[in-house]
Amino acid sequence: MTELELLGSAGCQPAVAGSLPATLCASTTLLMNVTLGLFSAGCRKQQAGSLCSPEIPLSAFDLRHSFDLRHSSFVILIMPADATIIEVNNLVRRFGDRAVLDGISFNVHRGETLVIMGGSGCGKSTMLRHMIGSMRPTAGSVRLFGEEITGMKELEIERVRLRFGMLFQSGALLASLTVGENVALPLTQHTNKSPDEIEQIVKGKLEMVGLTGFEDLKPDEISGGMKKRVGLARALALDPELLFSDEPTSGLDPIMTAVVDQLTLKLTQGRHMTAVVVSHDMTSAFRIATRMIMLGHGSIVAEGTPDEIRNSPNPEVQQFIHGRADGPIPLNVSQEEHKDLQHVRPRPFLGARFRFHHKHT
Amino acid sequence: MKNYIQLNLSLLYWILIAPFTGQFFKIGPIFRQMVFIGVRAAPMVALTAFSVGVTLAMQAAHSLESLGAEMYIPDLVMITLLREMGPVLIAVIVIGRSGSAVAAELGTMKVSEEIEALEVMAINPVQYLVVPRFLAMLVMLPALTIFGNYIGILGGWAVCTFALDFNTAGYILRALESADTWDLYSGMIKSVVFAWIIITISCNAGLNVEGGAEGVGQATTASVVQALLAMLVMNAVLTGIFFFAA
Ligand SMILES: Nc1ncnc2c1ncn2[C@@H]1O[C@H](COP(=O)(O)OP(=O)(O)OP(=O)(O)O)[C@@H](O)[C@H]1O
Ligand SMILES: [Mg+2]
Repeated sequence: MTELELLGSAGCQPAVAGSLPATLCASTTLLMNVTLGLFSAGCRKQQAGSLCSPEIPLSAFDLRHSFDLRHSSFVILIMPADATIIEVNNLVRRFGDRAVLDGISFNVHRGETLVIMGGSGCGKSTMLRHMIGSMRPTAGSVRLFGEEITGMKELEIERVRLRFGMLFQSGALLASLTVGENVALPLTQHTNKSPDEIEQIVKGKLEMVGLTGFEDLKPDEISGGMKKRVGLARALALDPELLFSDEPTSGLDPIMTAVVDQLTLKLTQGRHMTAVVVSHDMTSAFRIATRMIMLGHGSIVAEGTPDEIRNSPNPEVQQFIHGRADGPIPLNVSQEEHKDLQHVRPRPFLGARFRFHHKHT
Repeated sequence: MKNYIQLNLSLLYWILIAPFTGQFFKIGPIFRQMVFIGVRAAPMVALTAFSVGVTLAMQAAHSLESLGAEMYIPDLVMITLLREMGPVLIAVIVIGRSGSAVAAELGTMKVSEEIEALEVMAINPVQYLVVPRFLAMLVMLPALTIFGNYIGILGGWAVCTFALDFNTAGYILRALESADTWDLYSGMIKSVVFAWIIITISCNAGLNVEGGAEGVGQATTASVVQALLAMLVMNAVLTGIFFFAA
């Protein structure tokens, strides 16, 4: 079933955002939109009567609304609980004439935690960069929340970006700001919260990642693992519905790894958040994943639930998850060989490429 | 060049149009940049301007003595400083000091993924990083130029009173009589235009760095050279417009 999405714009001038007229105007629109939304959901149900029973309880739908202060508009989403949040279709990315991503397709559904694995340099970070719209693909499409982002203009894509958080592999903290200011940045830029409220939120987020009391240090005064965690706190500052994280646990000790994993599990529980995590760390990956994808020579080598991946007969997968030095994955791939390997499509291992049938429990 | 034009256009958008859609500038970062770009450069500007004032007075004395026209030394110092030397030399100092620093800072942010992180947080880098620097430069370069003019005239005065037999009142009267307000304004217009050129070239160089620390170094050097050239050519053009076309 496709997602039902209703976007209502209050059309108020943002200059008065937060003032009484705007609030009144916006709340009227909210009411209207809820009514309209329920109405159209009802119509859909009538039409789709043969597909889904008309007695579907409303709780089967996630009714979400968020007030976007910057544009003074309400975004009402009424979507079935298993809505597709990310659709990547036949994504191709070349650097020069080397195709790093060569026709990749997958979907991510609401509430899932998708772990992307694969050898170093196989294009995991590049994959994420295409999903957040900071790289444009050579071919193919990426849809976030049902919107095609590959051809979007900067101003349009900002609207989509407000709905997700991203943790970069390097942390990517602003070196000129303190840890606290870094976490506060999305809040000061995108909300009208008072400095006190922001301070409280920042405290809370830093506590979540185990960094209470480090607010006033500069990024170059903290360790690599701490930077990662500050980056995670910053990505979560706006309570996003979707989180991308690039190796959130690399450089962390086993205890902190567990803390970060538990945080991801807690946030994705009850389908409040969807997560796409790139990870090398197999313990952590199997702990948080509801589904896994393994990338290799530009395409998807294997895809499935953690159990399916663990029991996969594909020798590449087995070599990777058990971390063996010898196996089918070549150790040194020169540029030319890399090009050749791309033409070797993933061999049709029996049962290696799983059809995805993920059931929410 | 395409990037440069794009940067200018989006700068214009954020300065002229965005405030009317409710996205005002934040004052704090502008003041921080003003201190960095302007206030910290003041001692260097003072030293440069003083030396220029002294040199101008000595050269003027040397040439005018043979004509027996020493009384015009203050005129020469004043006019040269206000119209040409003031805006140009102070722009040179600001390019070397603040322009290169801006290019290096933004370049480092680019290579360490900070700019990308800003974009992904839906924060426009032009709005967040370039606008405060631009406004600070647009205010501070003319301010530094006025400050430098004063100091330069002080340099001329020092030569006139200590080495030649001028008295202070005579120097000031002569200097004030020689220049009219247009001399001052033309210099101010020049320094506003220079401010625009310097900061957009530096920011553009920084935002388009590619290739790690080496790229940052190259972009910084390139931004200094380009800003100097553009500034000097623009100076010739403006002098032509102001003093020949009229
Ligand atoms: N801007 C770029 N220009 C040219 N090649 C690039 C660029 N970015 C990435 N690549 C190439 O793309 C490939 C994949 O890079 P990517 O950073 O996505 O790897 P990764 O899977 O994230 O590796 P790791 O696990 O080490 O982080 C690399 O071989 C790299 O050479
Ligand atoms: Mg990576």
